[in-house]
Amino acid sequence: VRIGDGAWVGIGAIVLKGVLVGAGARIGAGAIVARDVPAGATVEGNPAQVVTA
Amino acid sequence: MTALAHDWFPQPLPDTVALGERSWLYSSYAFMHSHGTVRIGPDCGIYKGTHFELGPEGSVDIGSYCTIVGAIIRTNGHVAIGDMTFVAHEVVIADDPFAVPPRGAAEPGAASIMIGENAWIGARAILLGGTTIGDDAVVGAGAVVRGTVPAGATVVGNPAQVA
Repeated sequence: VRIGDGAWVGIGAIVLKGVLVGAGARIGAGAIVARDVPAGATVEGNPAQVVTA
Repeated sequence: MTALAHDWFPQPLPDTVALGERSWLYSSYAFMHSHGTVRIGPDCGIYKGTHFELGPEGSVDIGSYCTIVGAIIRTNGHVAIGDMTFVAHEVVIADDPFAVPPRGAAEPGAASIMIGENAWIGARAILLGGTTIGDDAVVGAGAVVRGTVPAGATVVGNPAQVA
């Protein structure tokens, strides 16, 4: 697992094996992250998916 | 200054905390990181592991006959919990960006979280900013709720959906 600069991981979130979290990405509270998160993206849910504001 | 007779933590309750008659609170340690106002009604049980992490503008109102078994309540806005509501272990009620990343810069930080009467919040559920839980509603274990749960509804999952 690698988490980039300035990323933001919410309370209770789980980031699984091998996942790359891009710089400045946001992981919502309780999200289960099984796939890479692009830089600056926001992901939420189980499985975590990209959401737009 | 009110001190709990059974308290192991060597501090009285903060002046900004009001504990109703016959309500049980495990310790003043619950307010170790709180700078806001907490009003707890009569006949409630606030058990070990419950933490109030309120900003200076934050306020929490808890009704009567509520049971809270170790929730984290983190806000600089307002959280209201109605009478007879049960909140299970390790529930998170938070609108604070430190705990809950906002979706974008446009999303407001603090937003009220309202829980109705006789609701049941399952273990490890997460209630996000702006959430309203209706009377008699059930939130399943581990559900992540953003938005409104109608009265009497049961929601489960992440994101939470009506079951």
